[in-house]
Amino acid sequence: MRINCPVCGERDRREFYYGGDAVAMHRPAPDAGVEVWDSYVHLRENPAGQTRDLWHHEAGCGAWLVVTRNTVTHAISDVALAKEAKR
Amino acid sequence: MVKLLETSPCAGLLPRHIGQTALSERPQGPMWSVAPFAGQKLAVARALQKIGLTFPEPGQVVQSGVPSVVWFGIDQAMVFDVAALPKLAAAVTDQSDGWSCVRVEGRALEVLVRLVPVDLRKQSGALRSMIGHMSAIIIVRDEDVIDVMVMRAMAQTLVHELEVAATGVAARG
Amino acid sequence: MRLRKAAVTVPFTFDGVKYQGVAGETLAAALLANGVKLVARSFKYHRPRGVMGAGSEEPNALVTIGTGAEADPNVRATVQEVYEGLAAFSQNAWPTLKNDVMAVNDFAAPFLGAGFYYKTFMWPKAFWEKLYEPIIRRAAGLGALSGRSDPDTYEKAFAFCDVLVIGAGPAGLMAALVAGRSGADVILAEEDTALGGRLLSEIEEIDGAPALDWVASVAAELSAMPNVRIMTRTSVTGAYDQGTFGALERVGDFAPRRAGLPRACFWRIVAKRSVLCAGSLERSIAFPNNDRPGVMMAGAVRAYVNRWGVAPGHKVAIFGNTDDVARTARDLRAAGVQVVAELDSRTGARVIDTAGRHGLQSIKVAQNGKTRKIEADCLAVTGGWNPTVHLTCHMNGRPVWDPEIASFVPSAGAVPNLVTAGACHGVFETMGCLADAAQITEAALRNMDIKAAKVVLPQADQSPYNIAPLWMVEGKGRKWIDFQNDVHVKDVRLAAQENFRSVEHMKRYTTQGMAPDQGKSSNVVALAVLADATGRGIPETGTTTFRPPFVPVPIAAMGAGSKGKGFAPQRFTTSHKASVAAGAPMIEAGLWYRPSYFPIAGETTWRQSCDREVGMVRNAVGIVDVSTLGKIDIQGPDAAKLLDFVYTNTFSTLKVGKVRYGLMLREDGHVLDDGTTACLGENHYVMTTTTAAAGLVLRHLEYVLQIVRPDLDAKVISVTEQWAQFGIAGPKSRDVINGIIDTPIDDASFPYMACGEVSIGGIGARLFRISFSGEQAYELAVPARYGASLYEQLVADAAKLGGGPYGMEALNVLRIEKGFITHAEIHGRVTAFDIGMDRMVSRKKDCIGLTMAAREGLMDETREQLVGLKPAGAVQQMAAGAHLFEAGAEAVRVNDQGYVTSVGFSPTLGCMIGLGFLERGRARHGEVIRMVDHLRGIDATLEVCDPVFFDPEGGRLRG
Repeated sequence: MRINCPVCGERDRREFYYGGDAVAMHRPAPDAGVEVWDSYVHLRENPAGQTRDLWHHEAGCGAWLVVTRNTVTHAISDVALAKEAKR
Repeated sequence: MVKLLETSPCAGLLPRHIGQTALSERPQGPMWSVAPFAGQKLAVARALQKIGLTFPEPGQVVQSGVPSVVWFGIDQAMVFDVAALPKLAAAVTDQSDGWSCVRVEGRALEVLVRLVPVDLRKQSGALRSMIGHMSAIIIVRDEDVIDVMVMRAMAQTLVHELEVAATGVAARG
Repeated sequence: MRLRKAAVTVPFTFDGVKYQGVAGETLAAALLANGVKLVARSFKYHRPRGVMGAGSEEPNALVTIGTGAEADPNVRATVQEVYEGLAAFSQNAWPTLKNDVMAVNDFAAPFLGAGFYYKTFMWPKAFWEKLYEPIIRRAAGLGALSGRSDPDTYEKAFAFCDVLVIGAGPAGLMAALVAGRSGADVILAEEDTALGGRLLSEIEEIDGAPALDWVASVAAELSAMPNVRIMTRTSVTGAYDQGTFGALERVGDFAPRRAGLPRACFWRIVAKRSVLCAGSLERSIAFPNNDRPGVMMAGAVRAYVNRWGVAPGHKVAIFGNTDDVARTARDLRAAGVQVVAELDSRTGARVIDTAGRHGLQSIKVAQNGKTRKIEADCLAVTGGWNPTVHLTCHMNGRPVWDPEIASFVPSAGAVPNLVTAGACHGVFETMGCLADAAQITEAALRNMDIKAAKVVLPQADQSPYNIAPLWMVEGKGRKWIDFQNDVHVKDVRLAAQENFRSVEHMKRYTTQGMAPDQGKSSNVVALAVLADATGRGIPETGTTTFRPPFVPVPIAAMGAGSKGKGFAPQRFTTSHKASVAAGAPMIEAGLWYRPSYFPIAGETTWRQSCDREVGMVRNAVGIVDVSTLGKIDIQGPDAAKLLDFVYTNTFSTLKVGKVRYGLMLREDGHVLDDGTTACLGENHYVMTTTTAAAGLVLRHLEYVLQIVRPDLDAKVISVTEQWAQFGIAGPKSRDVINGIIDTPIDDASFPYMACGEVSIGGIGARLFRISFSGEQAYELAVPARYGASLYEQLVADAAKLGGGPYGMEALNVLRIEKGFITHAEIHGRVTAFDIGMDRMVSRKKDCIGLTMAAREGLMDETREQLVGLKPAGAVQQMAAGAHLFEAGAEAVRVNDQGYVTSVGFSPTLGCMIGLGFLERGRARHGEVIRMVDHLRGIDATLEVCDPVFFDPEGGRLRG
């Protein structure tokens, strides 16, 4: 698997650390309520198809990335810097 | 007064010649990490231009006589061989002692093909990647002169990995 | 029998018998040249088997090369090159290949059909694992591993290209030529030793000259191109995501061992586009007793005759269903080998049986209603050719049936950016291969915006293929399909009869195609037999599919470089050499190596050293290297806000020159890490993490800054390796410090939890007054280049005051005495509440984990809480990992009330002490409970107490 880092270019998967679903970018307010927090921390979709998740280019430039990929075809359609990605 | 003595990261390990590959330790000169604060990249670049350097783009290495500045990661650069930096709107840390830096000369490309998961043939400048299992910075000076840096404490493993790879290259003839 | 006299021969042995081979030819060719036909015993029935093919798909001729630890089992004799001194051995036979006692299995064959083991060895259930399976496994099988550490070296390497051409037959050469001339960065990978593919083994002309002349001229042109890399002896083994391929290069296994030379190199090749020109593999026909040594593939017979100049027999019969029957006869006759029969099934001829115990002696033929016996010592068989679709299956591609060639062709787009050309694309004649490859490659280049150079196609063979499918011939005797796993027609029919009608079920029931060769020469035949047995057409019955690797890859090649020192990076502190010189056993802490204890004269156990070191710190001064703890430099206008957000407690109130202990949570409310953070200047902090969590915490901070709070303007960077940092602990610690730093300190200028810059001989250093022992203690950090020197000085100075170095064992005891936690306690399932630090969770600000930590249940009084534990009965032993029960309660799971996390012998208190978690623990101080370690067999009575055993007021660390 290779990920096209917007800073470093296409790199082997071994340089990256998987950081889970990109839902992590939408941190609720402290008073958002138990259900919202439960969903944020614990509940994840498991799609056969497109998914957005976070990868850290840990052995590269250090950027956290938002990777849009397909769990069926393994095709990666978009990679963006988490700092600049749509929220 | 106590007098402290210096020890280099690869002391006792290098230099080594294996076939047509030479491994040597780079001198431990001053080295500063520079990470501009939000919106300050241009200002930092201007301040560095006053000493003949700049803030590098990804992969860039800018040399000005002995001093140089090397891209080191997202929004981060490393300034080499400048004794003291001008005041910068950036997070600056002393990294002079944090790294082991080995110069690979000769069949450098063939050696590093065995360790680095990146195509180094068409590279010039600096890149962050791995050497074996270690996070590394690789500075391609020339196709047969490549500097590799890993965390200081891993010097022994770095030398070991380079020796094994160079031995394989040499044995192939 | 050799057809040409070899100029130079080299000696080699097979089963200890000396033979002469020609350097570079395959072991199979050399054995056939020496008249050796019986080379192996089959997997299950121990049937005599001979060489069947001439390539990497070989199912029969597996041998072991070398002896002892250097032995390589299951090497295909059709791939292994002969060299001087090569020692090959047959496998799966005892006592000898000719007189193999396990051949008795063959007589029991009527009972040993598919499913036999599952049906027979069912009872009693426990016997399967302990008795039946080991025996069956010993009887069946191929080569054995030496069981010793492999002394050979292997390599791994990475390669990158625009166009990867897989296979260098006519199609591959043309693809490489087009891509190469177009200026693309090309890798041409070929598993053979030479370029040419089938052309090496066929008599054909290209542009009116021998085809090999054309091969040589293309090879020369490609070799001269700087943008083309030719990798021979390299099998592309797998296709993976985003254009990544695995490839095994045979580097040193074709010559006598040479120091330093790896046996093989496992490549990861990344290609923008790839052209699969893998050719095709010939399949057999399932006729009775079609597995005798001497029954070979017709294409292999032509390879031995045409390429290697070796006749596989004196009297050769040919049986098949394509024009290859005539072609084989033509080539044999041209080489002067007697052809005893040309049996073309299209004219109704059938081979219905064979004879010859250790090698073919005769065949029985039915034709025109008559049967006759023909003397033959070699039978060349062709059932047609299967495109080598394997790599196109590696990413779930399903080949599709092409009735024209009666075989499967790759489905388009099966692997992104991979195209197929030539025989593996279903185009069999040479002219077609050349044209197909040129056109496909041009399209691939256009697709990546490279202008394709013009290549004029040469004239080449256009003979048609003319196949009339023939899968099996009825008759008495077993009709073998999968030679490597001993599967025959009856097994497949039995599967169908027992309703394993899906190909996948049939495969698992019969083991068809599940040997190392993955049924390369047999899957299509098996599918056809299954289709026939179930009354369906082949495409309706299923398809054939393959997984990586295309050819077996030694695990040693995949794991190259990861043995011994290469297993994981080693991190050594600047004091490492001194510790080792002092005789300290080193223990691993993550990747770091840290001293366990420092034995001195007269000490014979680690406990003696540890007790002394603890006493040394409590009474004088001890030195410990703490460089392994993570140090993260944090700067920026929002640095304090970042700390407030990642720590449960408040750091924005921390003054310059002060240190504060902090607790970090995960977002789910459990403890992530703890440590101290020092304020070095305005908006400038250095955070300390535990050794284990250094990388984790740095990643966490980047996660917060880039994902959760991108609004914060702060920069973090590891300075762990920049500083060599030493703990100086004990009542005399300040005396040591003042002997080293240029300007002495005192309690007033440097109180507990102070920090600041100092100098040592003019060299800038950092001093922190923090303690992990409960004593007055400091940590002194210098740039790492001075670490070794400073450590030496500190140890020498400490020794003058009755102190010295201490190791991890003493450090652990010291911190348990004080109830300080480590990751033994904050192991991922505990909350701030559990460790009694709930007060440290500030409710005045948001922080990671704040909301979830307040969940009902995470603050429940019944939770397991941190307690101190000490012996209260006759048994004085304690053990980490032991479980806690009420006194008198039965030590079973339902009564479990907690567990022990850390223990140590406290010389200060004169007994074992420990930390652990106990239900409602904080309310149970003074209670006597039961501790049971079921693993070590310890059953003790303990008293629950406060986790702080020593100096609870903390007077000692304030000095």
